[in-house]
Amino acid sequence: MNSGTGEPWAPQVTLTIPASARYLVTARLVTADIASGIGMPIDVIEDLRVAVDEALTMLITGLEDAAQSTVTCQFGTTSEMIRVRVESSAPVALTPPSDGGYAWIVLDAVSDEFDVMQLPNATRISFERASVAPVGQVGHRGTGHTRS
Amino acid sequence: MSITVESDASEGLAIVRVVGDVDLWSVDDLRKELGQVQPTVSNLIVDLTGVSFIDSTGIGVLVSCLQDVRKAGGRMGLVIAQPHIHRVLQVTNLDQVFIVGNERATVVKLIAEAGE
Repeated sequence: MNSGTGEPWAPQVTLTIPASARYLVTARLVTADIASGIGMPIDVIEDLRVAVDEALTMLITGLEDAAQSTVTCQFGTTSEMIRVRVESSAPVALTPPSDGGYAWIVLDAVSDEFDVMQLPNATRISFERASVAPVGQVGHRGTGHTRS
Repeated sequence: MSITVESDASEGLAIVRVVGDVDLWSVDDLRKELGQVQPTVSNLIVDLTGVSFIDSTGIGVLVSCLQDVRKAGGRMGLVIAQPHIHRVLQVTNLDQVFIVGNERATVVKLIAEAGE
C-alpha cells in the first residue's frame, strides 16, 4: 500500500447515514451509481460495492453507541478512478488489517489501495480503485496498515 | 433476503436456497436458518445463485456452518453462478475449502464423489 489515499482530494458526493446495517444497501446503491456514472466496468462496480460495504460494516459493528452515531461516505471521481472515504462519527477500535480478518482481506483485494486513520473523534477508512486493475494485481495485493 | 429449504431425508441432504443480499442486515436470518437445518442432515448445499450480494459477514456464517458440518462428519457445498459472488470467496481462498460448483447437479455430484 502506498500513500495515494492520503493525498488531499475534494469529495463530489457525500452520503451520511445512520450507523445501522439497515442502510448498507443505500450506500451500495449510491456507490454503484457513482461508479457507473464514470463508466466503470461492472466487475469494478461490484468490487466497489463490496469495498464500501466492508468498510461501513467494520465501523458500524465497532461503534460503542451505534444507535446515536452516523457514518459518512465521501466519493471523489476522475474519469479513470474513484476515491472513497468512509468515516464514523465516533472513534472505533478496529481489528488491525494485519490480523487478517475476512473483511480486511476482502477490502484489500477489491481496492487498489486502502488506508485506516484514527482521527481525534472519528475513524476513517479510505480506499481508491481505478477503472482497470493494473496487470498482475488481480486478487491479493499488498497488506494495508493502520495509521494513527 | 429470502431463504427456502429443500430436504431429501433419504439422501441426508438439505439444499438451502438463498435469494437477495447477504450483509450485516440480513446475515442473522441466514445464520439462524443454517443453524436449524445443519443438525438434521449429513450433507448441506447452499444455493447462492439467487444472491445478488454477499460480504465477509455472510462468508463468515458459511464458514462457521462448514465447520459444524465437518464436525458432524458431513460435507458442505456451495452453488455459485455469478462471478462477483465467487470472487469474494476466491480472494479469501475459501473456494479451496468449500465444494463449489455453478449448478446444483454439479455440487451434488461432487459431494457424492467426496464421500466415496
